[in-house]
Amino acid sequence: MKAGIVILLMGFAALARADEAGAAFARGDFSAAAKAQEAELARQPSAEGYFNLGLARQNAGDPVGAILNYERALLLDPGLRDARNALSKLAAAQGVPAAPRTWREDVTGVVHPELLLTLGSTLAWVGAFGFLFASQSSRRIGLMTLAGLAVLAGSAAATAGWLAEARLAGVRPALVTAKEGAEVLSSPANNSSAILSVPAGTTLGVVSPRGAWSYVDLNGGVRGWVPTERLTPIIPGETL
Amino acid sequence: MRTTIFSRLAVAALFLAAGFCAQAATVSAVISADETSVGQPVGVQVRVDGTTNVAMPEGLGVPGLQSRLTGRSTQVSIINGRMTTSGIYTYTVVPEREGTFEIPPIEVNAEGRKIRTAPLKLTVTPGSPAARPVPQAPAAGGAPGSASASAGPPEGSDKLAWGELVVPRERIYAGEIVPVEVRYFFNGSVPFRLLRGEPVVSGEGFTFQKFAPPTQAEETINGVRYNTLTFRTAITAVKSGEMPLPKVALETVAQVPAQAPRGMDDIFSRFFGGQGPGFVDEREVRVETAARPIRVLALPAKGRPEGFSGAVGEFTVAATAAPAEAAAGDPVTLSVAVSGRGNFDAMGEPRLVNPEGWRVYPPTDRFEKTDDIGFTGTKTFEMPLVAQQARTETPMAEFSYFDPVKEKYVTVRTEPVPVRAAAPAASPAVAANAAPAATPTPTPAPEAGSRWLEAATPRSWEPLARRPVFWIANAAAALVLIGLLGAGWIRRMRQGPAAERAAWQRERDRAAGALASARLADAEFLDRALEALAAQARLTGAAGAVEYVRGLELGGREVGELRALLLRSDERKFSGGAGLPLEPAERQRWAQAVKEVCR
Repeated sequence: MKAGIVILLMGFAALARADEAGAAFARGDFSAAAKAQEAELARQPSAEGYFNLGLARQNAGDPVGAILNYERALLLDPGLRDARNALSKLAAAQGVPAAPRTWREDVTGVVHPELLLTLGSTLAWVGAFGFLFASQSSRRIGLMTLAGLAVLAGSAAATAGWLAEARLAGVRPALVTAKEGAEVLSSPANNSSAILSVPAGTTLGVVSPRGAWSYVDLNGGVRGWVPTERLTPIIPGETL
Repeated sequence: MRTTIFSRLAVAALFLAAGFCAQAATVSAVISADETSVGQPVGVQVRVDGTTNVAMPEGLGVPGLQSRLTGRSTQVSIINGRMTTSGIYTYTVVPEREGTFEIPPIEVNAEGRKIRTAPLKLTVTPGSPAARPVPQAPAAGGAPGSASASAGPPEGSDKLAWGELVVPRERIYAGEIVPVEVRYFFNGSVPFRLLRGEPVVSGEGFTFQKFAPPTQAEETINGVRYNTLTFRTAITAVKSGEMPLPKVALETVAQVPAQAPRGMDDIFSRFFGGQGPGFVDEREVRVETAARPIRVLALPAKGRPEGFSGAVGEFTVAATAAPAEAAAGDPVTLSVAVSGRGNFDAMGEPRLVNPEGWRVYPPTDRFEKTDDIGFTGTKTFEMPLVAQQARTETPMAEFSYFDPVKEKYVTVRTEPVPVRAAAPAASPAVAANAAPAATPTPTPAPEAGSRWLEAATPRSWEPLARRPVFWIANAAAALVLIGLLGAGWIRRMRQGPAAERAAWQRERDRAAGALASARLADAEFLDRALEALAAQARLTGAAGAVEYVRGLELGGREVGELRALLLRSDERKFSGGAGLPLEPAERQRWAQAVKEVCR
């Protein structure tokens, strides 16, 4: 009983914080909106919440902070169109080269990878159980075929959902948040040759963090070394 | 075969008939850009309609402009039975100094008649660091058109085929759409056919638009005739830095002359000098462009306008509004058309300047391209506006873009469009909405089209596939499935032999029980008796009724009766059912014997 009341009170408090952030945004106090939204997100992450935080940061004059939070929103829900549109405009305005569209974005723009994984695995299991029961049935050929197809379709959907999940990819997504951007170097040494320079707000994949230096991968397949201090992990709480 | 000949004759006749309708030759010329800088090439295209029998000058002969005829192509089209032949001749012009140049009328000798184009104007601005004079086309073995920034010429003009990727500038900007040409040269004496209709791009760091259908032409280089195939497309660099241009390959099959088959060498050497007529080798040839490096610059942060939304190119804007009069609360649609050349895909909407008194809704947009690669065209943004106060004109629209030729940001504005929009009736809500606009220090407005999202779906940073609940649920399902499979297997293992045995027992008892009936005909009696013995045999592991009876121990009275029963059964079988009738006593004894052994 007590636990129920506590949960109820926490829920009301969260709603109040969300309202507070929205109200601050509506009256143009973007810093207060960002602060209230951060408190809400610390309690319960959501793609919409990160989008709102990005919006508040963008309007407060912090484009890189906005890009970071739009990226976070898209990591949680790749189908959030508002975040994708806002990110592409802001990144272009920052001079961040647009990454080529990937099949992953095509899939996750239509259906959330977790939903695909859940529905796919459920369908595969339903098919497997159906196959078992169909083998006992008098109309076994038709039912077994149907069940077999369900297993195949479900497995394919679950595999697609798994592969489309960016958080399961081999690299850790990170953002260049240093104001001056970063130079991607050919080796982890300050005096090594620069492969290219990337502006603040560029998303990189950290292949291998090595203390002060991180071995990173750009969308185009270029790999090199970047000082870790210039990067911020897109997944909050992750360390590089 | 006959149909083919007739159809060819018909097509030839159509061409001849159409040829009579051919019109007199006309000529026109266009220039790809009115303004350029020193070292930056532009193209002059001369189109001659009505004939292809023309003599073109090799250059334009303007001091201060390097010019060279770099491309020829021919088009034949028949529209409503009227044939039109056109020759398209492309000159590459590289300015050597700044100034305003007038390219004089180009005189074309068309079938002995001299016709002229209109003069063209070209303004050349001082060269930027990006622009430097590009090398002249090599005199020997050089690829035509390589005066522009393109892949190097082939090592020798004796090559069967080669390709070049022609990029108009030495330096480009990340995000900029750059129209390019991919040209392939095929030795005219060797027949080629394409394995794929489109080139294949291999490389990274650039995205390619769809290739436009290729144009064909003929070129003569160092006395060697080449057939050329030119694909137009546009590339975009996705990151900055010094990067190699991707290789663009065309897969073809060349039919090269071959030796005659063995044994026929003598005949052909006698008559054809060593090579069999019609004997060719088909050799797969991958023709690809060179991976020449190009410098890709990031868009400069300095001087970037506040409303810059990623457009790179050269644009103009124009605005219209409809309807011209709007009642209170009715929307006025402000259409802002952005025309020109550049990356229409990546551009955001124009920004409204001082939209006080208007409520602005997110715009919709549509793009109409005017070329086949989507490089030039018009993107129209339609913004619904609802007047919050009486208004006589729309706000101005401001559009910022980066001009890669001038290498600077440019901001263009439309003029306000006159409209008559009535103010809504005063209401608390409207008053509240209008209030911020009326305050002397306006608060910073949220980004146009962006809205605060109210509903939020709770998510976890841990992906589903790494959460224990996912694996527990799947493991539980797997365990249940394995359990069901195991239970079924155990049941079958347990129930299988017992059930089978019970079925045979039922069969045996049914057949043995039927023997007591006096209504059975003799044949039926014998059949039932054999069925009972066969079932008994299965129950004891014998192969059949005969084997079972043979296996019984001798001496018993029942064994003798059963053997007699089998003999009588065989007699009836082999006599076609015409054996002696069974005595009642026999039937009784045999029924008893069967019952005894089946007990």
